[in-house]
Amino acid sequence: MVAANSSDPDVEVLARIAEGDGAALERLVERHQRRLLRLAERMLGNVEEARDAVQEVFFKVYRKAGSFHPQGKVSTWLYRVTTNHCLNKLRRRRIVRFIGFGGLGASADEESDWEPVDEAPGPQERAAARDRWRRTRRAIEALPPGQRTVLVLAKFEGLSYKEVAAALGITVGAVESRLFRAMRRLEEATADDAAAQEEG
Amino acid sequence: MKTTRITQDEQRQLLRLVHGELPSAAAATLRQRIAQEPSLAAAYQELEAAWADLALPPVAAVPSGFARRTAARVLERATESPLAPPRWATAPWSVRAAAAAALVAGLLLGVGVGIQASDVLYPPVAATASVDDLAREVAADLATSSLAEQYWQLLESDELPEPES
Repeated sequence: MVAANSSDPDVEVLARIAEGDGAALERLVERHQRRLLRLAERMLGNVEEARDAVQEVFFKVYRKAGSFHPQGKVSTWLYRVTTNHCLNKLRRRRIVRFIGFGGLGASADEESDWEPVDEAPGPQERAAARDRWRRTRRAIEALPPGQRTVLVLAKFEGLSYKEVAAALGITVGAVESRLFRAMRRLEEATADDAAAQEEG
Repeated sequence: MKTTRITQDEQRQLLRLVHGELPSAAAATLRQRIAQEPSLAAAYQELEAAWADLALPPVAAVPSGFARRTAARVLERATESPLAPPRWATAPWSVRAAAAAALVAGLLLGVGVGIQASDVLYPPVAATASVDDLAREVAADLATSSLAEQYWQLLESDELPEPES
């Protein structure tokens, strides 16, 4: 059951949601939508899928609001629900690719829409930024879902190892191992890219 | 990472340093070593560059009214299917006891039906003719059959019939 006397203001909001308060739900979405949409988009590589995913997440939150045990912050719990939901989607996508419907939900089609913001004004800078994004996206998509999640949370969400561990329900050691393996893969991919460019 | 030059433990320490996860005393010690050991310095620079090079485009802006629409959609779905999936952990003991009894009854019923079906599909051996009886029957048939006679003649003559065209 939700304990309303927690110092986290979201716990009180969750208690209201558990009673079916729609306004409280809207307030919770309003407060966390930016971070969760960003996380989902980083993980899934697709804006529309990310929006659907976050709506699904809040549906789960609504359903489970009454059984939330405030051992940590609500925001950490929301991270966990979102990452789990995105991981499930990624795993399903992998299965779909495996059985021959490759490319579904991939971000390749969106690359042409990527436009850097003002910090890279010249055409060369824009091209370089796009190239970096493309390389990063490709490298991240090649990672196993578990490593991808840890990398996105640590690098792009700026979470500490401890926060990533809390968000995923794993140990700090496991976070470190996954990050380590992810970085090794990324370095190998970079080396392969460089070798291919030299050959080309 | 240059695995031939530095150990895996050192690589992990470097990663912690890049991520700002190393306690300050350990970080200072490692920085001193990096300043003195070229292989460690190279691995550190490589790792730092790889980490810094990771970049993704800015994410899309949150669409206006997203929170309102999301809340409305969630409430709509919840009213369409108001019952949450059953959870054993929160079910009262009477429900759990009834479910356990039903499970046991189902198992017993399944075993009973299985035994009955096996009697129908595979009748007991005593109900069929024994193997010896069957062999005697076949031998008697062969003894009186003209086909058997032809077979023995063919074997004795060492001649094989021409294959049919």
